[in-house]
This record gives sequence, C-alpha cells and structure tokens, in this order.
Amino acid sequence: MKTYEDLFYEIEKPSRYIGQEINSYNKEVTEGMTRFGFGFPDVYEVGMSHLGMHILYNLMNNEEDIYCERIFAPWMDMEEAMRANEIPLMTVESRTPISELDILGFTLQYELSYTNILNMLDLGDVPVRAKDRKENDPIVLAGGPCAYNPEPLASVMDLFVMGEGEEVLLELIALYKKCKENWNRKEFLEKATEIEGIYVPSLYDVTYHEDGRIKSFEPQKETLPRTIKKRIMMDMNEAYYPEKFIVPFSDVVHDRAMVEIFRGCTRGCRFCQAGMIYRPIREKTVQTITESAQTILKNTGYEELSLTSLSTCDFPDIEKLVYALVAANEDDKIGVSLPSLRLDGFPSEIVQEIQKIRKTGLTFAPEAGTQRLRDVINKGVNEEDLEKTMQEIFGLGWSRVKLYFMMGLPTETFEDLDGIVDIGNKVTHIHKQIKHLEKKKPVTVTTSVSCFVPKPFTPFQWEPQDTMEQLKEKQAYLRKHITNKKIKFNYHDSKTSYLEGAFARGDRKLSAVLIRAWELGCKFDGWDEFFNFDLWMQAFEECGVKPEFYNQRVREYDEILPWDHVDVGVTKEYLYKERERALNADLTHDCRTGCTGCGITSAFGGGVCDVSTQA
Amino acid sequence: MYRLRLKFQKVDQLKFVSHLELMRVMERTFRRLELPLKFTQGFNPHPKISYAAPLSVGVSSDSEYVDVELVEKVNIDQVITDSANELPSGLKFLDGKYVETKKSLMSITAYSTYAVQVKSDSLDEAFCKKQVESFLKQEEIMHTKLNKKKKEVTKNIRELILDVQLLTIQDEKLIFKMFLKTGSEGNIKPEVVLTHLDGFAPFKMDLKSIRTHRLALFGDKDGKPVDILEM
Repeated sequence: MKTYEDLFYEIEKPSRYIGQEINSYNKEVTEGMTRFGFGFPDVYEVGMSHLGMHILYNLMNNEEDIYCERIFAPWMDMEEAMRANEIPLMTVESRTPISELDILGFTLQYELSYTNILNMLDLGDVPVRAKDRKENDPIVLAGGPCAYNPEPLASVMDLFVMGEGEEVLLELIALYKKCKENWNRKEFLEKATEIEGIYVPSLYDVTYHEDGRIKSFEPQKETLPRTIKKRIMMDMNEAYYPEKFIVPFSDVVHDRAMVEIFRGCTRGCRFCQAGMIYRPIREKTVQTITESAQTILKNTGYEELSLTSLSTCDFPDIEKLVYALVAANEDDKIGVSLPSLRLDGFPSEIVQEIQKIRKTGLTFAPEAGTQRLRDVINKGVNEEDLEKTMQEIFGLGWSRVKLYFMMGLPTETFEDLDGIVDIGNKVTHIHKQIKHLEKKKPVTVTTSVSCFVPKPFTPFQWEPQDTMEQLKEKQAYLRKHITNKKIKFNYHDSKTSYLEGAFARGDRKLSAVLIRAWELGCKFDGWDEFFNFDLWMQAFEECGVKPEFYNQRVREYDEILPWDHVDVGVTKEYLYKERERALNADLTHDCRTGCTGCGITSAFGGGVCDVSTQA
Repeated sequence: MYRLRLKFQKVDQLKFVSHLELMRVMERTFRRLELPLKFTQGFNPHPKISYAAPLSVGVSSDSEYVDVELVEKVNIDQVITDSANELPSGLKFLDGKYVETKKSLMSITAYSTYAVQVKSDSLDEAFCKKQVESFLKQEEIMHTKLNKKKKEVTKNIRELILDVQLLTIQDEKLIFKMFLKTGSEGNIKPEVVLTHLDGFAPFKMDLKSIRTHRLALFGDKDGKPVDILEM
C-alpha cells in the first residue's frame, strides 16, 4: 500500500493537495477544539476561487478554539489512487480524515455539484444519508445559494444554514461545543433549530397529492419554526471581512485579490435568483473598501484586485473608489478589475482609468435579443445603450467583446433569437465604422448563449423550462443564422440545463434520485467530460421520479412549493406580481430610485432601498 | 537597474509545486516583501524574473537560483531575513548577490549533481556497483524521445552523463549520486539515466519509485563546474 504522499508522484497537479499555501492555517490541534471541515464539492481550482469560502475560513480560524480546514473533491486520478490504496478523504491543512472532524459544512454553489458531496462523504467514510449517521459521525451541513431550496438534499444533510454564514456558524459551533459535553446527536439537532436560520429537514414531514404536488409541509413539533428565515449581515462596514486570503499555488479560476463592495442588487432582473435572495442591498463605504483592499494586497502579493458584487458599477461611489485604488496601486502595476459591466451607463472614464495598468477583456450581458424580451426579464437595457457603449469601447481601442445571452426565457420566440444574431452583427458593424489613428485590430465578438433555468425565489419560479428539443432547435437555429465570421458562437449543453432545472426546483423525492445517480457512477456533473445524462435518466426511472414534473410543469399560484418554508424576505406575492408584469412586458424600476414593495424592508429593514431609514 | 541573484532551496511539500506555479509564488513573495520591482513595458506589465534550470514536479533541490530585476538596491541580508515569513514552508532563500552580467541564468547553467533513490530487486551492493561501472564504460547510450513536433529523435546521451555512483543501499533502495549536464548546452534528467541503467543491468528497478533531489547546480568555466554565484 502506498502513502498519501506517494500518490503525489503519480497524479496530475499535486499542488492541489499539498496545503502549505501562504495564509493557510496550520493550527496545533488541542483538546476541546471544534474541528470544522469546509467542503467545496468540486476540484481545488474551482473551490479556491469562491469568495465565501475565504471569508468563512478566516472568520472561523480567527477563533482560537475552532480549526477550520478545507476539503475539496479530489480529481478523478487522485480519487482512483486513493480508493486503490484505501486512503480516506482528508483535509488539505492537517491531512485529517474527514470522518474525524466534528462538523462538515458544504457550500452549494450549483446544483450539478451535488453528486460530488455524496462522493466526498463516501470517500471519507461518512454515511451519505443523514439517517445512517451514528453518534460519532460528523454533523453534515450545507449552506450557500442553492441551499435556499434545500429539499433535494434533505436526506443527505443533517442541517442547513439559510443566508449569510458569518454569525450563524459561530452560534452553531458554540451550541455544538455546549452539547459536546453530553453528546446526543438528536438533541443537538433539535436545539440547533432554535438558532434563527437553521433548518433541520428530518424534523419536518412532507405529504403529497396523488399527482405528486406537495399537500402539506409540517414540523413534527409545535416548537419548531414553520418558516426558516435567512440570516444576513446588516452593516457591511462592521461585518467581518478577512485581512488575508490563502494564495493558492495552482492556477485557480479566479486567482486575484477579491474585495466585496456590497451585497444584494436593486435592479430586479426577473430571471436572477441572486438579485432576489441577497436583498436588501448593503454597501460598504469607500474607506472600508480601500483599507481592506490595500491590506489584502499587502498580505497576499496579488497582482490583480477584483471589486466584487452582483453589479459593481451600481456602486454609487464607484468612480471615487476606482480612482483611489488605481492611484494607490499604479506604481506596483496591480490591476483593478470590475467583474460586471452594464451596457447602460457604461463607465467609460472608469474603464479608461483601469486600463492604465492592465488591459482586460470586456464582458456585457444584454441577456436577450429584443427590447420586448429584455423588458419581460426587466433587464432595462436598450439598443441605444448598446450602440453607445460599443462605439466608446472600440473608440478606446478594444477589439474583443464578450456578450452573454440566454435562450429559453419565458415568452421567447424565434424573433428574439434573430435579435441575438442582429446584435452580434451590429457590434461588428459599429467596429467597422470606427476610425482609428493606430492600426485597427480585427474585431472578435464572442456570443455566449446559455439555456435559461427557472430558479426558486424568482418571478419565473412558476414557469416551465424549455424542453431539450426546443433548446436544441434554438441552438441549431442560431448556429445556422450566425454566419458572420467575426462572431464566435458558444452555447451550453441542453442536457445539463435540463438536469439543473429539475434539481433547482426539486423536492425531497429527488434525494433518492441523487443518491442512486451517484451509486451508478455520476460525479463531476458540471464537467462536460464526465457528465453522463443516460445514467441520470436511469436513476430517475429506477426511483419512479419524472424530471419533467419539476422542470417543465406550469405551477399554479396556490401550489405549495418545496421551498415555501424558507423566508428570504422577498414575498411570494411580490414575485407573483412581478411574474404578471413580466408577461405584460411591464418594467419595474430599480429599487434604488424608490421602494417596489418586495417585502425585504419589512422583513429586515435598513437596505439602501429602505426609505424609512434614509435621512 | 539592478539584478539580484538569489539562491534558494525547494524541499518538503514544495517539491510538488510545478515550475509555472513556482514563478507565481516568487512574484507574489517579492511583492509581499515590497521589493522595488522592475516591470516590463506594454499592456500587461510583469516583473522581470528569471530562473536557471526548471525542476520536474516532485524533485526537491538545495540549489535553485532566481534573478529578479530591481530599480533600487536593497539590502540582501534583510531580504533573506524577511523572506522567512513570506515564503511558504519548503522554500528558503540561502544566499544572494547583485550581478553585473547580462547573461541569463539559464544560459550560464551547465551541470547538476543529484541524489537519486530507487527500489530495486537486487540489494547486492557490490554487484550493483559493478553494473554501474560497466554501464558507464559504454561509448554510446542511445536515447529516443519525441521532439516538439512529436517526431521521434534518437541521440547519444553518453556524453551528458559525467558520473554515476552507487553510494549505498538503504531501506531496500539504491541510492545514487549523479553528475549530469544541465542547461541549454546539453541536458539530461536523472530518471532518464536510470531508465537506461535499468535496461542495461540484469537487476530490475521500480522506475515509478524514483525520488530525486538536486544537490547542486553549477556554471562552467573552462570546462570545470563553478558555483553559480561565483560566475
């Protein structure tokens, strides 16, 4: 038998597994220390790009009596080698088998990572079903955006954390510590429900109508909360933010310093789950951000700084912020990047300021091809915005543009697809019209069209998703009509979107399907080279569950949705009203310009849209 | 402009960090050390940092070199002291000096010595030593590899192997010391030497179990190895 380290000589990219990165924690394990494993159900390079993990990792390790270590899904070659040598899944930092930890917390960033959670638990000798775990097994929990519909993982997780983890995790660990003195798993889980934001699925019963719709969702005890309200940090200037980030060795997806500038978004795009679940908008001050940025850059040595949020250019002081950061970092050639740019109100001066240091590609998301459909989704961008922005960026010397669209949006027709083709052509045409002093580079427009998946807590949560046949037909249509050689057309596999759609709006019955699919060998479903649609369909069939029930059915307003017991602050009434407005192509204005009545201010108060708290 | 040449060690877990990854580690370490880096011009400025002879993943070394260009002189001892807190465990600066030469590190590198261990089915030290001697007595050792165009090319590698000694046998492993050509004028890796020895000698080695450590890296002066920092 080989040792863990022996395997490093035989596998790809061993630096994924070695730990030792700058700013990682190597704590001495002491008696009474709570050992937390932060699990990211994908490979190291993907997990290390995730901001939330860095925040919570540092937050927990700031506490002397908590040791938070990272756990990633080993790549296929490593998993094979580990299984062949009977080596269990271990933490990156201290190489402790995960079954020896107290709590395993998984972040749910996308539905297609769920099988990796099962595989990681199994590789770590932790039972995959919550009901099979014994007193000594770790508590397995999950949080993150997909946890807002926890039901497909109800049989796997002991508990879910709803909302932002900063406070609630520390409260939960304090409770764990207290319960540990006289440990009883069931007692701990029951007590955990007293913490706001904690959901223990095994303490709730679901009954179904004959046709499969939910008939009732009931707590087993009167004392349990009927709805679980998300937890959020109200004051982002006071909220914890790390002063340092782990600097990975291997080439991770987002290999740069990240400073969060605000949470939430007020635009109200109707397809966007993040825009609803992260409400209300909570901003940091320019001072908090710049101080944080400079400290992080000093402690990491990164050569690029990203200002992250759902819609960075909506930050009211964005200009002041960018000028301050560029001025502070210009000499050190540290680039500043804005992850998302809008076509309306394109901040040309800011982008020029940024490119003084480094020139990066520009990405825009018109999302839909016609004004009508953009109004349906409340994108609020028009052709003039697009033309004006393209003229500016080509005039400034850019020649590569990425445009993101979706297909399969509610009410979409082939006319809307023609609109996608037209926009691409228009962009190349605008480039042609621009006169340059210097020699002009040829233009490339990358048009990426993803398949729309309706998500919980959006106005489209009642809508059917396009069938795979419809999506394929639309892709073929675009392939045929995008004849312009300067346009590069990318699209996504409709099969993965189909599966994502079933899980996004799935209920508890999907737990069995998930476990069966994993048993059949499904994992890394988000990776094209490993995704096996046929095995998934076999799993659905063996479990007697139809994916169409979840992704292609029109739901009625009064239907109990699997995630109705989760309270994100935005009301169901508001979402339905927005759905009606969508179908009439009525725009809803940005909440920054006045409250639109989504319910968040009465649930939480204090966001920038809350007129009652504004002076 | 000043060119600071640093000698460093790459051992323990850091031997699993690839050369490309090491380059990022170094740049970020220099940034954390707040060295006055000299940058290239253009749309994507990057600091001017260069290396001697890249190591394969899994190979440790006591003798690596990096050149970093600076716009101001800094105190080398201070850099080495401060780097203890800024380098990941497994990397360590050992020595350094400012160099005048325009020649790149890569172009002056000529030789390496390695300690190499491998599992073998024969643990008869005298016998194995004899085999190594006969191996070196060959005038030709023909090695075939794929070139950049994926075409097979065969060449004699005997002259790249300056010396191979079986030092001892420990824990059922043969331990060799090798003195090999390294760099743009001729380069051979210890595992290639062992592959040929395995084919030549009657005993069999488990080539997957090879563990390599670079002991020293040298430049060349009149056909003789000299310390890189003395070049």
